[in-house]
Amino acid sequence: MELDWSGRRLNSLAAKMKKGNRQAAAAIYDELASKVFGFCFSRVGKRALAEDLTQDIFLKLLDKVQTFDEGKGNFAVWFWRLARNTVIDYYREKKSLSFSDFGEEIESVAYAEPTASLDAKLAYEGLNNFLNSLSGEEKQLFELRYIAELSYKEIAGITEKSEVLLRVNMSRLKKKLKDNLKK
Amino acid sequence: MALFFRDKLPVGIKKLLLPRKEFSANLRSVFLAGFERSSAAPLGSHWSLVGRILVASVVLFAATSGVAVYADSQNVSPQHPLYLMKRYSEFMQSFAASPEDQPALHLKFAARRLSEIESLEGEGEKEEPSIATAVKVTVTATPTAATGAISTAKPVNARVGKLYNDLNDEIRTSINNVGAEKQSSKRANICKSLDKFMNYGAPPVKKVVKEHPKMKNQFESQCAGYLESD
Repeated sequence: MELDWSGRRLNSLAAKMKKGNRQAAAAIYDELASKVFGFCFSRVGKRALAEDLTQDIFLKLLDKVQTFDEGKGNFAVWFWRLARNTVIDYYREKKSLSFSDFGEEIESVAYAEPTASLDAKLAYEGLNNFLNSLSGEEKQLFELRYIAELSYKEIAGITEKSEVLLRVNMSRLKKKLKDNLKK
Repeated sequence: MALFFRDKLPVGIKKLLLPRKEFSANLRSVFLAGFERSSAAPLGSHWSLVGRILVASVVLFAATSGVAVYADSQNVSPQHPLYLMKRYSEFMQSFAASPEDQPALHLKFAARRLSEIESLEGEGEKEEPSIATAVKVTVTATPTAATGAISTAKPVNARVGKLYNDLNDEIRTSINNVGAEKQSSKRANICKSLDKFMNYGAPPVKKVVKEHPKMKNQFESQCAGYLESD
């Protein structure tokens, strides 16, 4: 897979991080931390839980970075697979818990943020409702494209679907979103 | 909402998805601390590299010292490829010697510089007649005796000029350290040896002494009362 500038930069940082370069590790964190949190927050809907998952993802990165082969793959794809799998693992574990452990309801993301503007809160609520109406695959595509800000090539690498199919799916998704916002 | 259709989240919504600054900063510290711990393993290889460098340094030092000792024992001439090693050996001997041993040691080195000057000047003036008189300088404080041959030749090149400077330095160092010898008999011996060396008539030494009048004053001050018995 041919990499764009951002992809090449991340690959180069990952290679340096593998060799023990602290600055490269810090740069990777700075580049990805907010996106990872946004991705987790969007998935689980609870800030504290999203923080836990974000931490798990970065600690897994420390454990597994030596297995990333910069000669063969794209770090962004490798990393977001790790992130996505961590969230999937969380849901699998949750399923194995007893019914009583599900007592907490997902908090309202927008209203938990007192500093955000009312417009933004309403827009987010609208978006959240829209995302909840999507299938799992559609939601994942939205999150990887809009929140993780990945290219179609990278999303194709993570989801193992063709880039063309992803573009078609995203086009349909945007039309749905447009229709939803008109309501 | 137009931004949605350029594959970007509206800024207001994006802000809602940002982590708390405190959380980000804490996790960054945790992540980097963990990274440093996990990078500690390759440190072992750094240490082994340091170990290899240390071993190589010791081997190199031992080899250099061996060659230097050989060059010193052969008292090689300034034209010899191992001459620098001889001088390195002299430096190491001086470094290791006690203050009491310094005067005799530097007098020995001064006698060496004298013979080197004479040999070089002899090379430069082979076709001119030279007065060669053997002079023996006995350094009673050490078992080493230095032998010099007198030559009337002037410094013929920069190397000889440098040797004159070195001769001056060796005599001065010897004189300056005479006071370190507290035993009267030993101090008298080294003073007598210095006296012989400086006043025996070897032209290069005479030239050095003449060019540095303070040297003689210093010698007299250091050896006052130790030359009379002779």
